[in-house]
Amino acid sequence: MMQPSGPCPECGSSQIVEDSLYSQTQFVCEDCGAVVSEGLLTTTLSEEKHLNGLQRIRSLCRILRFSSNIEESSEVLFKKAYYHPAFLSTHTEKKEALAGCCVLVACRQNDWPITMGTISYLLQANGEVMHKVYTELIQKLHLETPPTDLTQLIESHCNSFNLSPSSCPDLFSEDTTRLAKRASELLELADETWLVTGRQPVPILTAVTYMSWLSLRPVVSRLNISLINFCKIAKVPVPAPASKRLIELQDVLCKLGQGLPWLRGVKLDRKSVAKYTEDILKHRGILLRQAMRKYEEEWENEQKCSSVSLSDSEEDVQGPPLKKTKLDEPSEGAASGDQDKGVSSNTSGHKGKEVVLNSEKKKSQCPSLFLPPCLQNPHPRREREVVAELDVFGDEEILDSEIDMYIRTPEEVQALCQAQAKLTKSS
Amino acid sequence: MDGESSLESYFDQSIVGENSQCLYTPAIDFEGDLSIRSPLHSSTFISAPVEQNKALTEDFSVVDLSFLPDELSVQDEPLRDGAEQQESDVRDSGFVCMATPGEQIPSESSMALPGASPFCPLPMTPMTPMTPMTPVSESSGIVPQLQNIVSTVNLACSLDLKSIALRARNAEYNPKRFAAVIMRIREPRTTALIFSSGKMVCTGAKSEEQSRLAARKYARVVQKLGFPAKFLDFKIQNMVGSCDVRFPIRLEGLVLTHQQFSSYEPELFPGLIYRMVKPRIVLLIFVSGKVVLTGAKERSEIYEAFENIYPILKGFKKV
Repeated sequence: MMQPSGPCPECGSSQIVEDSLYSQTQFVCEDCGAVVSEGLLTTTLSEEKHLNGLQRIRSLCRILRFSSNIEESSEVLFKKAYYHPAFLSTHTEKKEALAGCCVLVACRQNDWPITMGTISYLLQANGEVMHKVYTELIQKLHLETPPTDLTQLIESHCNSFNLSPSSCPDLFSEDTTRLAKRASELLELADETWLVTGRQPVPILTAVTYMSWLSLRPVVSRLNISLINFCKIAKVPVPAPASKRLIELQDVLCKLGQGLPWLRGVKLDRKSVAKYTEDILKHRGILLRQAMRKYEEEWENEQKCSSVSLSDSEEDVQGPPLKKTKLDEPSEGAASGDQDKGVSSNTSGHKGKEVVLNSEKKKSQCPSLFLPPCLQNPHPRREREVVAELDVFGDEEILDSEIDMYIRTPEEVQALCQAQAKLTKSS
Repeated sequence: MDGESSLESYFDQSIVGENSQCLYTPAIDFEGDLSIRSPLHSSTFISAPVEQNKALTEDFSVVDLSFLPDELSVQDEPLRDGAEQQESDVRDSGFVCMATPGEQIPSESSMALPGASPFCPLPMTPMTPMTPMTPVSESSGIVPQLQNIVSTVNLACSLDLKSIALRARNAEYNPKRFAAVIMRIREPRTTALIFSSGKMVCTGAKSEEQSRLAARKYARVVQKLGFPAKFLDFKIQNMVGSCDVRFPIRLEGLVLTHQQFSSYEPELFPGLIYRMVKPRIVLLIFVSGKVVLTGAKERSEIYEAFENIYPILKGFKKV
């Protein structure tokens, strides 16, 4: 950065010293006193930004109390990335986000759980910019970052909830370790039943924490507090999808709760399931297996009753009769199981797009009781135009008439010109 | 639960039927145990070069053996027939017969595969009950549908975009936003970007032939508007296909075993981005089982990529 440019032009001495006059650096020859160069910019703008970035990384690491390991690796990474052509000539915003992304990558590689949301919040960076920079960083530098394990995040997430006895009424306060423990069990259950894959982590964590809080003390006063109010009490922001995740989680708990023998007569719905959550969690392994086995048995009975052979056309026919028989059965677990079965058999019937190569229809497999919610409630998609692929050869004759359709007549052109002229005149 | 149901489903599956490969379905979940080694590893057979020294999936039999050299297929033919026969006879004892590549060997596959292939020439009673296998050569039975083709063509003459926008009905031109005319035709339903240099990009077609026909129609329109347009260097730049494997997929598991190819960031995007090396295709894999394949220059690349990924995905199917 600060290099004297060769020997002194006056006397040829190479003894050039750096001196500053009124904080402006100058290079002065020691022998003859001539000023070799002055007013050199000591650092270029990009170098300055580089330093800024490094500083930002350091402060981030300090705030989050990372080990020196992570700090070092993120700094090294930042140096590498900053001078990579992809990032050298980009907007300041991107360079700022780059610092955060380097920290994120370093955390991931060192198995430290943290979300991108946290870092962008701390940096006050735009989430979208962070995303773009992160993907570019990974791609350009060919980094491998193992994804964050949600179970590790749950503890820090619970800690962020303000539920100490001092900050809220006794009835609502809760010990964070207990909260985190129950929440991680619920999270495991959610993961097992396809509620976690492909979803944003934070709303799931919030929903799970709320459920855990409810179930630890399912008294009426707590049960009356909604998710949004709970987050207000705990002074934590509510992510929008959290309520949907909560509903999905409660549905899963209801399905499982129906397997508990002492709840046979009880009406299990989303509101009341919090009371039994503790028991459900305790026996979740057995309940899961039981529920799935039962579901499969019921499904197979249906299969045997409804039709003998499973051919393509018949599968569609099976749809309505299956539904009917199920609606009639007032069996346990039928309520929610119904929806699944009905919907999944419908979806299996509407196999619109794929071309099945094998001429004989494969026996359809029993759909699982627990499916990712996107499969449970398929969007009523407009029937994709199963385009009877136009038998097009690519080199056919193109009719003049067809092309003329796309060309304006001279009168139209004239009219358009006149209209445009009037518009420009008036404006 | 898992053990019983897998046996039941084994009975249900016809041999030819369940499209593909053998299903090794132990009672343990995949996520739990990543380091099971097959008990039937025969030393006389070449085990596949495991490119990643990572944990092997439980689902050994469901492997893409495309990387194996061609000679092996000859060796295996008689075995396969023998195995198939025996499959039909012996139903209770699950036995392992290694799937053979058969006709399904793409030239080389540098794709890392989830498991070494324990070659087992003869059916033997294994220590753990397994469902019988159908040869790997049977395709998945699912054909990806092409959704979009992007192609470029050179009209070889400079164009006056303002005049085109004025005289064509189906054109829009907003120089402040984008420096090209956006033209659309109804049949085949496509959109073209026409630049003043004479280069054109045509998007939206569902097949190569449709793309070519559409590009020719655009060129004809430009010709009729008075420009000496030619039709040079028509080239398909990108093809996008999609399909559905019909079962949910554990993306977290997939990213763990195929870390160097996959990128799964639920905070950024709900799907897993799998960059296959051979053929060079990017796949977007979603939890619902839908797969989008893109980056192909030829239709065969899309099919090949799907046939490569299908056994891997099947390994993550929870039975």
